[in-house]
Amino acid sequence: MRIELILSIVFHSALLGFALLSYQNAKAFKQPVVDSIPVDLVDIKELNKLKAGLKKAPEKKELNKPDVKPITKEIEPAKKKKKPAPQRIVEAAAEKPPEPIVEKIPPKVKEKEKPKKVAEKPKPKPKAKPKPKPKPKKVTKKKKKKKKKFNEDKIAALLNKVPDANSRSSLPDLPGAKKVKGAPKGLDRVSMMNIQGAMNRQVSPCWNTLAGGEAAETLIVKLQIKLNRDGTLTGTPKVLNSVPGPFFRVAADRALGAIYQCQPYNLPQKDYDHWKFMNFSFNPAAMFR
Amino acid sequence: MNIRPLLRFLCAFLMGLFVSNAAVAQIDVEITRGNIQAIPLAVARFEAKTLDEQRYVQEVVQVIQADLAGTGLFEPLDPASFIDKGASVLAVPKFSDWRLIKAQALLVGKAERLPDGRIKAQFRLWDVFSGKQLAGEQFFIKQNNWRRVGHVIADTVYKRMTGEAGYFDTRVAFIDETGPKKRRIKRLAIMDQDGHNIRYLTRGDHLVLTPRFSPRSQEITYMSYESGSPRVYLLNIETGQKEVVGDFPTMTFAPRFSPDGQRIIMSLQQGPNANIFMMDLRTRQTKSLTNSSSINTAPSFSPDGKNIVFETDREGSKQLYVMSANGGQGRRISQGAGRYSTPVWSPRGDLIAFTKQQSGRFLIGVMRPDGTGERILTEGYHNEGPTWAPNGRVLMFFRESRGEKSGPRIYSVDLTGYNERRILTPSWGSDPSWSPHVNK
Repeated sequence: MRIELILSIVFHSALLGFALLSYQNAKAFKQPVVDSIPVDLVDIKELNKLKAGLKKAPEKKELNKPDVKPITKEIEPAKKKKKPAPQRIVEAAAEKPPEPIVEKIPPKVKEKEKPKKVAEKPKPKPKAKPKPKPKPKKVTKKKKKKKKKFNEDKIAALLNKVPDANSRSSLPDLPGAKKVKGAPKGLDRVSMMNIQGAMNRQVSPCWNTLAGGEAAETLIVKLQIKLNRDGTLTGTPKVLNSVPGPFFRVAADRALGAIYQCQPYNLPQKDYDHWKFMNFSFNPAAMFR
Repeated sequence: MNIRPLLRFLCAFLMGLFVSNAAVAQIDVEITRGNIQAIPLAVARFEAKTLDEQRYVQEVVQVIQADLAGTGLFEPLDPASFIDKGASVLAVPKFSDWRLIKAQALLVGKAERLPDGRIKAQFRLWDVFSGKQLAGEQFFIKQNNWRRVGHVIADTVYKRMTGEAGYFDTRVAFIDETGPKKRRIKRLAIMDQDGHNIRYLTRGDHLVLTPRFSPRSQEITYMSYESGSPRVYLLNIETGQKEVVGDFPTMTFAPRFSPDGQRIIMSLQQGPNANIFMMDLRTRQTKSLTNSSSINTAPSFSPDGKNIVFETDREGSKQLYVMSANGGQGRRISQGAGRYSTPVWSPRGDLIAFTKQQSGRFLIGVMRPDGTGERILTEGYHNEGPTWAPNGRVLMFFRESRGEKSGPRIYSVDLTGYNERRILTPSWGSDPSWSPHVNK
């Protein structure tokens, strides 16, 4: 028992002594230095002018342009590796004179494997369309100036498929890729709006609105329907809401009648999983205004 | 204890929840524009056994079609277009046949005469597109009124498909006018709202004016010169009994019942002026509601019995005022140019109908009880005397045309102002007063 106690004391004191000696020279924890972000206080008038665009200050605008354009151009090929780039961007790139950045990429790219594919794409595009354009002369001059300010880090980041954080806001919104809050998973905004529009066009002519009833304009009927792949109804549509009184029952019947009457619905087959179930809201308020 | 199966079950359950949630993700569609169209309605030929019954049921079908078509809200389809000629009230219809002819609703029925002399009528109303039965009833009725079977069925169809109470099984009291303009014979008469089944309640010996139905339906109050001077009378339609309302020394006119049928309000001439009085039919006590040196007349109760709308010329020209049912000065509600008269409060309480005279034209219009939302529904050479259908959706009025040989005719118009129809009467007709529902 004593031996164990002695051994324990010795061992613990040795450990304590070692710790005291070794941690004395330990480096203090350093907090990472964060660069301060410059914030300009802008008057609301200036902000409005910024949004409206300053016609009288073209030079400043042109100076900003090269910062944006090369980035968009470089990011697109990197991002759209699998799919072909959207036409708008391709055309925009093709219309402009060959850009210095693209020319400069190959020497660096040769060392790496991945960027090869990226660099190959932009090359044939300028060939396909006539290069010379009288107007961009000034731009090219400024772009030449930009050459001198060439940012290697930025290009490296691009080649590594890491877009420059500052350039994100300048990327144009691609209508086909933007997701809408509330849209079914996997369905893009355009497809969803197409389906909504198609249903609106097909159902509206069949909706014989209840008119003249008490507060008829406030009777909103909500339905849930299920469709077969051929656009016909499967099962009975569900009325999701209810309002006491005889008028709602009639309004609900009218809405159901519209759904039944106008089937089968012509909708894109590829999106069947998304329009298989649909919620409808029949709101006559706008008709009584 | 082995918890692995439990964990597996939990995982599967959560995955299932996730997957099902993803599958039910739906597109929301909002429909904000529709149509306001007449509903295509197929009224199939009613079943009947004997030839006699077949003739009657054919008439019933015609009554239903005419009632519903007259509203402008239904479009009865031509029976010649029907594919299924033998639709039965006892079988589910073949909806595909009715969809082909674009029918939205289908009415099938059957009528038979029972050994006790009554008629047994059955009908079903179907939604053609959903295949759902919207209404199904059977009832018994006395044999001498086949047409009423049609009105009762039309009321049910109308109510089920519009949400509003129907007005087909109702009657109208009016003044039947015959003879040349200067020696016109005026008789108090009563008819179905479609102009059929006319009964004359007076012989035409005396001038009668402004009949008004009691909310209890079997009584009519009107003004007559029967006793030499104009007086307000009360007539029981069933028994034919009549009596003078009140014992006033001077002329009484423009009577109308209170909503409970227990009181009558009317005007009493007082020299060059006229004021509004109310009489309790149980106690026979009278009470003055207005007291001004002007002509106050044409009073009409609000359906809750709390207010009275009337016309007065206290500001020079005739205008509409609303006062408490206990009387008082009231407040002016008519604000537009022209002269306003014969106000009638809607049974719904939401509107007041009136006659308006402006620039030589007579207009029938409606406004809210506070005077806002004035709308003119119809105009003509001489329109007058609007009366409301019991559902507050349709008005009847009379229109006089120019010329020595002309006379008044009765018309109906709905609240949209587009669906105006003439009510066919055997001779000239004026001063219509719509009854409440007959079976109320």
